[in-house]
Amino acid sequence: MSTLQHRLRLAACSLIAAAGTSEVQAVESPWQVDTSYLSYTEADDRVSVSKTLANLNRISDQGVVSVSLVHDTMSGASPTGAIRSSDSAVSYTSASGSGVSAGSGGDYSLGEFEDTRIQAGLGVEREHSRGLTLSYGGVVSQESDYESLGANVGIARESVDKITTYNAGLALTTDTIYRSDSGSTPEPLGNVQQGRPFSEGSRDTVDGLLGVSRVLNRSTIAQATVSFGLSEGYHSDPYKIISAADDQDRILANFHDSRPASRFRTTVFGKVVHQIKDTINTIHLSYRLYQDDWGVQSHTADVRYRHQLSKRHYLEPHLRLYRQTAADFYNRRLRVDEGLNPILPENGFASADYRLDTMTSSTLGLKYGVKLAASTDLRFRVEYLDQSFSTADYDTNSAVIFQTSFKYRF
Amino acid sequence: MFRFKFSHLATVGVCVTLLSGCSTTRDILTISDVKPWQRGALAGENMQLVSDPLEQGVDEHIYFSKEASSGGARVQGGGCGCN
Amino acid sequence: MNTGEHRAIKLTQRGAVWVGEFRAMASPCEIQVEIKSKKQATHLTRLAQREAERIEKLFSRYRHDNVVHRINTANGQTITVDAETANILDFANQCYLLSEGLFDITSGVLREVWRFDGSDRVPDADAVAQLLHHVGWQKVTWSNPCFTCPPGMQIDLGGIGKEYAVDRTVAVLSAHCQAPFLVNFGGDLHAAKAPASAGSWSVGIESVQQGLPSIKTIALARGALTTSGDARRFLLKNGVRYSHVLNPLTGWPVENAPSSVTVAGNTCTEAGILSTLALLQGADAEQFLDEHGVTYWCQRDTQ
Repeated sequence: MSTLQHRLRLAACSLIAAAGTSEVQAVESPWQVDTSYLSYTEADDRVSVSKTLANLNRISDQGVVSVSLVHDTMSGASPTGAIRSSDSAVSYTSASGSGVSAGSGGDYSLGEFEDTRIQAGLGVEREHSRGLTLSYGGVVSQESDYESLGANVGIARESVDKITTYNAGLALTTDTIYRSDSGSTPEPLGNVQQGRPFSEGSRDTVDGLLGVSRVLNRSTIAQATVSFGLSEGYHSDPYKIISAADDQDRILANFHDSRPASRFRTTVFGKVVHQIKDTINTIHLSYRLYQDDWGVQSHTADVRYRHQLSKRHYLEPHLRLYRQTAADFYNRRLRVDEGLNPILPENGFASADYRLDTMTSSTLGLKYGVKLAASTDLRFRVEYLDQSFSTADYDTNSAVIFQTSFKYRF
Repeated sequence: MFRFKFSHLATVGVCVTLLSGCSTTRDILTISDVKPWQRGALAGENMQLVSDPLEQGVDEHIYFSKEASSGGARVQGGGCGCN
Repeated sequence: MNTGEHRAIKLTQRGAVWVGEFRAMASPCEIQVEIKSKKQATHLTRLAQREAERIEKLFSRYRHDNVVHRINTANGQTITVDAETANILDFANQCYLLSEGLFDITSGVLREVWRFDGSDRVPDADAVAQLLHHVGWQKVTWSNPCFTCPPGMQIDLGGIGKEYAVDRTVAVLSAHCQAPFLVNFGGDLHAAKAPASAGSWSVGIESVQQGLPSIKTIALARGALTTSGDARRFLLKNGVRYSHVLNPLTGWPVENAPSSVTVAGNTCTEAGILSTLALLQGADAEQFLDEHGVTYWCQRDTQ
C-alpha cells in the first residue's frame, strides 16, 4: 500500500474514532513545563555555577503566556585583571567579605565570590489579527550586587503565503550595580588601596532588532537579523582591577576598572535550518558578526547537527567557534614612567578584564534527547568550552557544562 | 586538569563536512517556490529556528558572561553581574 | 422512499436481511441488517437516520444554524469550533497536505461561476481568476479550536460529509448490534461484517450509461466502496466535456477525467478522498490509482 493511502487510512481512522469518544478537549495539552538543571564548572577550581530553570507555558486560543524562573548559585574565584604578584603566595580576597584591600604585597589577581541570583520573567504572545503576532515581556533579576529590570515588545508579521515573516523587537533594561561588600561601586581608576567608595552604578540599555525569516525550499528555513544596543551609564566592573607595573611585572599600584559611560553595539546574524534530503536529520548553521564602539569585533559560527537515531531518540553534536578583537582600552597592565609613576590613560579608560582581551573560544558539545512518552521529553547534554586570551595574565579558561532538561505537556 | 586544543581539529572538521556535503550545500541554497502542502518537513520541533528555547537562554547567558559580545538573534532585556 | 414526511423510514425484508430506507443529505439512504427482528431493524434504521441527520445539520451549506454557516459568514472573524468540527478540519488539513493542494475544502466558492447542468455555459477566465483569490486552504488560519477564514472565503464540507456520515453511522450501529450490516448513503457504502447467509454483500457498480445494468458486481465482505464521477453533471462546449470536478489550484475542471471512479477502502472517508483525487488526475487517474496500489474500477465515456 502506498504512503498516501496509508496516511489517509490513519487520518480517516483517527477522525472517526475521535468522534466516538464524545468528549474531546478543545486544546489537548494547554500546559507545557520545561525544567532543567545545569552545572557549569571551570577548570582549576575557578567559577562553578549551579543553575535551576523552569519555564511554564500556557497555550490557549488567544496565544501563549509563559513564566520563567531561574535560580543560580555561583562560587569560586575569577581573575580580576590584576597581575599575579610574584613575590607572595597566592591568596584569595573576598568580594563579599572585607574587600580586596588586604594590605600591601597581597595578590589581587583572583577575586573570590559567592552569590545567588534569582530571575523571573513573564511573556505574553498573542495573535492580534491574521498573520500579525504581538509579544510583550518583562524580566527581573536580583543578585547581592546587581539588580536588573527589563521589558520587551515584539511584533511579527507573516506574509499571506506564509513564506516570509518579518519581525521587530525592542527591549529596555535598567541595571543597578554595586559591590556586595560596600553597597557602592569603587571610583573608576581609583587606587585599590585607598578604596574610596563611589556611588551606586546604574545603566540603561535599549536594544532593537529587525529580522526576516523565509522558507527557502521544502526543507530549508533561513533567518537574518540586524540589531543594535545602546547603553548609557556605569559600564565598569566594580571587582575588576588593572595593575600598574614595570616591564618586569613588578606591581607598583592597583587601580579599579574604568570603562566608557556608553556603548553602542551592532550585530548582524544569519541562520539556516535544513533537513537533510531523504532523512529526518537536521542541520542548524548560524553566523553572527558583532561590532561595538569600544573596538570589539567578533565572529561567531555555530553548527548543530541533529541525528535521529529513531523517531524517539536523537544525538546532536554541537560546535561553536568564536573570535574577538580586544577593546581599545584593554591593557594587561598600565605602564610606569622612569620615576615609577603609573601612566594613567588620557581618556581615563582602562581595563584588564580578560573578557575584553583578544580571544578565541571554542565549544564542543553533544546532546542526547529521548521522547519518553507522547507528552514527555528528556534531554542530556555535555559541552566543553575552551577559551584562550592573547595577553591576559590567566591566558586560558575552560569549563564543562552538564545539563539535564525535562519537558512535560499536560 | 583537562585541556586540549580542539579548535584546529574542529576547523578542519567543518571544512571536511562542508566539502563532502556539497550536495547538501546545494540543497540548502536552492530557492524554490514552496507550496503550503510541501512544508510538512518544516513543521517539526527540530526545524524551528529556536529548537530548544531553554538551552538557548542558558547559552546566551553563559557567553554573555564570558565574552565581550552579546545579542544577535533576539532581544529580551535583563542583565546580570556575572563574572 | 420519501413519502413526504421528513422522518419517514421504510422497511423491507429480503431473505435473511432487513433493508431500512430513508432520505438524508439529498440522497436515498439505506441500511441492510442480517437480523430476524423487524423491531430491532427499525430501531437501527432510526439510529442511522438520526446520525445522518445530525451530520447533515452539522455540515450542510444550506442551513443557517450550524458551524459551517458561522464560519462562512464570519467575515474574517475568528470562530471557535466544537471538537467534532475540529477533527474534521484537522482531517481536511491533512488531506490538503497529502494531496498537495488538490483536496481543498475552500474550493466550493468556484461553484458560483461553474454550474454543471449539462449546458454549454462555460464561465469566462477572468471570473474564474477573480474567484480563485478566495480559494486556498493555505489562506485560512486553523489552530484548534480557532478557525479564521479571510473575508470572501468559504468552506464546504460536502466533499467529505457524506462519507464521514456513513463511517460515523457504522460506528454508532456497531455499538448497538452484533449482527452483520451495511450502510449505504447515496452510493457510498461501508459494510461492518460479512453476512452469514451469503458470505459477502453483493454490490453492483452502476453503469454511467443510463438504463444499462451494473457493469460489475463486487462481493464485499467488509470495508467501504465509494464512487465519484460526473455521470450527469458536466458542461459540454465546442466538443470539450467539462467534468464537475474542479481543480482548486486552477479553478478549472479537470479534462479527460473518467466519468466514474469506484474505490475500495477501509472506510468511506478514505475511499472517498482517493476517488476524488483520482478524478482530479484527469487522464492519469488510472495511473495514479495503480501507483498507489488502490483497488478501483474506472469507467470512461465511450461516446
